[in-house]
Amino acid sequence: MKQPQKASRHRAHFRQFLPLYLMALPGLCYLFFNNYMPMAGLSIAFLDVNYQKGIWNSDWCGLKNFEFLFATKDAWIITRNTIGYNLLFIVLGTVLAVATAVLLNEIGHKFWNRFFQTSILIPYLFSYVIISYLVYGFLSPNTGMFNHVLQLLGQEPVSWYMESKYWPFILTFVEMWKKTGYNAVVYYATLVGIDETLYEAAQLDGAGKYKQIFRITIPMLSPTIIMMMLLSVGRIFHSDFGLFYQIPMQTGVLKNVTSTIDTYVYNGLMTLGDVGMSSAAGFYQSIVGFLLVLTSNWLVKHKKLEGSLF
Amino acid sequence: MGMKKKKGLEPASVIGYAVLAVMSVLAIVPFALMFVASVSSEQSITQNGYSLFPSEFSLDAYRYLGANASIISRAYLTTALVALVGTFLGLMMTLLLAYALSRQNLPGRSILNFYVIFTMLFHGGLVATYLVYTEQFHIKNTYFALLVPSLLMNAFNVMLARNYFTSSIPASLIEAAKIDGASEFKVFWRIVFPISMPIIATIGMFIFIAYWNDWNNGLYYLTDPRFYNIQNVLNDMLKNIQFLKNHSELGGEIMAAMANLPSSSVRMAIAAVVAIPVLLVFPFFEGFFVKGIVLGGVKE
Amino acid sequence: MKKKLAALFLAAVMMLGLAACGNGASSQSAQTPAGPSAASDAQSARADNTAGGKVVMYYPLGAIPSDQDKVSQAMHDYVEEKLGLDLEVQVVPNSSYEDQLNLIMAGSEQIDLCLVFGRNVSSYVARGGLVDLNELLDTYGPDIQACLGDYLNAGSVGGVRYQVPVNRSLFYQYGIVMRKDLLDKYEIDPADIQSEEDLDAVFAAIKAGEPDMAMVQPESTTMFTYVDYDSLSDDFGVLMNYGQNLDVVNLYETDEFREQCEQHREWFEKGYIASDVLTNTESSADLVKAGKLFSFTCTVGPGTNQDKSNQCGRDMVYVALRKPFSYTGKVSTYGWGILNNSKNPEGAMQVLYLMYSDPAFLNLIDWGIEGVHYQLKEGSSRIITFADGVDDTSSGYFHNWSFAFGDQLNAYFWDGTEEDFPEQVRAMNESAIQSKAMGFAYDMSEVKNEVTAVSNVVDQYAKALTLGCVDPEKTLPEFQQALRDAGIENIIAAKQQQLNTWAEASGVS
Repeated sequence: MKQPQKASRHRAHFRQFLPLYLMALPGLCYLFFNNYMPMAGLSIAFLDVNYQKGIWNSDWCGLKNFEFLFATKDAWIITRNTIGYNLLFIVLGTVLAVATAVLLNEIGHKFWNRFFQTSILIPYLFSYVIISYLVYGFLSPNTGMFNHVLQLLGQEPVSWYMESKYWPFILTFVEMWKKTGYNAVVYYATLVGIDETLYEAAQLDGAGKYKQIFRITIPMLSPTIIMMMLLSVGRIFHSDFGLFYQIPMQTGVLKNVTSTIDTYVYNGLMTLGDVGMSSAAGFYQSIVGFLLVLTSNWLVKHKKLEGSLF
Repeated sequence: MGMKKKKGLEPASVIGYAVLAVMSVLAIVPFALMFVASVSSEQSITQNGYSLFPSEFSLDAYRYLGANASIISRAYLTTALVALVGTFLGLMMTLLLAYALSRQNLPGRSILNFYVIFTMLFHGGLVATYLVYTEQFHIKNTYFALLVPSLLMNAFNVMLARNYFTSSIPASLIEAAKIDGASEFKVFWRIVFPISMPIIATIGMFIFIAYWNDWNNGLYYLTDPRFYNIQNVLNDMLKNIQFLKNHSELGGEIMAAMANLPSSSVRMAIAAVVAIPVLLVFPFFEGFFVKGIVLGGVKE
Repeated sequence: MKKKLAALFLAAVMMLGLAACGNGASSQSAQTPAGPSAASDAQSARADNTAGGKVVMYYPLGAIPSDQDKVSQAMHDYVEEKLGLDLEVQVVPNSSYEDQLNLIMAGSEQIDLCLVFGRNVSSYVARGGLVDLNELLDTYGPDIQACLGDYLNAGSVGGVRYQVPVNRSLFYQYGIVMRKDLLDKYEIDPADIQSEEDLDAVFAAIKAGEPDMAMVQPESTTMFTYVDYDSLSDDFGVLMNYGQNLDVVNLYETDEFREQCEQHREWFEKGYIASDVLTNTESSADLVKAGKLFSFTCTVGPGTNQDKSNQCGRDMVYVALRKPFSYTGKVSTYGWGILNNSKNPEGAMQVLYLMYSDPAFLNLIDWGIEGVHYQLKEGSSRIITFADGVDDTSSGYFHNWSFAFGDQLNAYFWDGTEEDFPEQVRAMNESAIQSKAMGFAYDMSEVKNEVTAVSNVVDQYAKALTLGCVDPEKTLPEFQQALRDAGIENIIAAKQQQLNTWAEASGVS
């Protein structure tokens, strides 16, 4: 007796949701041919690529392509750099971006609001190559502005590109400069959608601005914040190649603090051009990120917070 | 705008203005530097480096670009068209998918979520993507090459939109509409869309910038320079300058051409040429969209 | 339950993806010339040697000239007439050439003949991207051997020829190019400069009078060293002394290397080498032009004075500091190969041969159509200049890439070159000391990991050390230790072994 009822309920269900599936279809299709069809390329990491056999018929070579990532004394340094910078960027970046968004929200004047929004986005438009020239304009030993100012103040000029100790700061600053505006806009868009009545109610209850920000705004933003953080965690083994390769102008001396997994792979494979090895590097970065995301996502769900990815 | 009306300046606003002013200056000064460098003479750059007050001005860099004006303007047109079409299509796809994913009672929702997010975590790699697009879809040297690969839609934007829909659109609003007999499409179009302007503007802007800044697609899929977008054209110029400089042992005729390249200022001019149009367009994007008003919805 | 579903679903999707890819890709597995129908574009060309057959020629130029279509058509017609082949010329911008070639090799697009940079030969061969040319050369290109002589071996890997080098200045002669006006001003006669020690005195004299000017730097951005060695592809394990012996050694541990680092450190401290040399993005020519640099080191030979003077906008004069020398890496810089994608290797070789044997074809590629784009200069049989009514901005075909094609010494030369330039070059090519390892290219695959690690170490230290930016006392031992940790000894051992085997097989000693 129950069966036919269930069946018809399923059919009704499906028809009810059909429009939604249809809406989702174009996007899902695109992801299929743009991302899933090439997914087979992940196997290249395990192949000894030989075009004469054809790329998909090449010999299986297990984990051999991964060895170069660990075969060097540098393996620890590049991993440490990659993860260290990423953690710093995630935390600092989120704080700065959220703060900026909150402040932006306080600017009621339409013109200034738009002006600020546009200005803080400007850095995002520059490519790292151009940024490296601009940074050079500040840090160049002979003609750079910093040294100019130092000399005016009676100090010795500094050879910035030869001293590693400054570079964690320099790189962090550049990265924050470039990305904060962009990230802030993400949070700002969500902020703007927060129901005004919440604030009005709070104000009636006597809550000051400070309280409103920390009791309403931030909690309402937290799903977005958490989601962004989860996504960043997924990319923790990746680094922004432009930042670490272009900005230090490829000065070898700074390697200890500016080399990451990506720059190591790039430098190493310039001569080799080995497709399998570069694929292996990408796979390695992805799998670590994937495991981390699964873990953090589970943690988020476990703590009953919103914003989990899935 | 989700905040209360101001009655005079409050400490929060003052801090806001101050901080944002500083950030704006930090953003604008380098930009100004870049622009000034592009109109400085090559001599003054070699002598004194980049400066906001160069010893000598010169339009040589722009003249060099001007010699290629037709290529550049064609590239601009290409970029603008591709960006507009791509943004429109991509935005639609993204929003529709995000909306579907945001509906809590959709069967198979978590599977679809996973399907989308997985694409952000694993990537098949350049070679495989290239093979799919050239061998299966034959997009080499077509406008599709600029439009489709990677840029049309990505999971990040979908997640952003989905997040916005789940947190900022009250479920009651949708329920009310459905009870009134509205179809999902109608609900999306009539109700959700208008109050999602902030996120739509944001994502639209992200997609647009991504198209504007992209040079990978042209690099891998185009051999006919007539299809180049602006980044490809300028990147091409830069690489040629570099090539000439790195292969000076070749000597002969090739070098006569190189003797007068104003390379430093050209680099800056190229950067300016790319960035300025976008900056001019931004304020319009902004003003048009950020008017999100919560319609007199349903109060809990 | 949901997670299981998700996993299953995902697996299904990936299988679909794999299948789809596999279908498109199975067409690539039949890559051999005699293979059955492959690419989904259903190319009509099959690899039959009989009349006809399409040949796709693929090469880069700095900028695609506006008359490229005309010239490509002319090339097509010429080849059809001479060889009965259907030549399709694809010219692509140089800025994306290498990236795209990497991808093309992975697919099944028909490209037969293409430009191959020497530094990529080993890696292309390791991937199976290039076709074995031995037999093809014997059958269709006998005169190429005569033209290049032993230099033809430069594009070989493991005794098999994969790349045919372009015939041009094939030697490397280390020298220094200096501003003539300053030499005159300080009454220094270039003829007195015989070696680096003499340079010391020259720099001292000039620096005293020009305190703000840097004295010297290497012209290009590579390591500043003029030790004459055969780099054996990558500098990791080299043959010293112009390659006149077969002992592979660690360049970075040699006395010569250390001495140079020390001398350059002295120069750096005295201000002969600019303090920002490591990060400076200006070219040497620009620096000389701006009066910030006195001289730079580079390869020199016939025509150098004229070239450098053009580039620097000042009168320049060169002095050779070493003997002319030739080794594999230098010779194979530009060359041509036949891709694994080729559907008509025989036709490709025939077209290649045309570039070496037929000046008319070569001049067509280099300079365009006679009378339209160029004309012979009065009284000369090989120097050319713009055709009437055309100049460098209005000419539809003036790409300056003649160094990349065929037998350059056989073609016309542009105005500004000496009449007997080709003879001078030929003489130097022949008289140059040839490294004994000419034609040897080592197979990196067994030491791939060490190569990656060593590349990173060299990247970190070599430039700074050789430019004198860091103190060799402290840093050189650090560098050497880092190299050992990265496994450079393994690379050297592998190279030595392969070299010995190759030497025996080739009868070199």
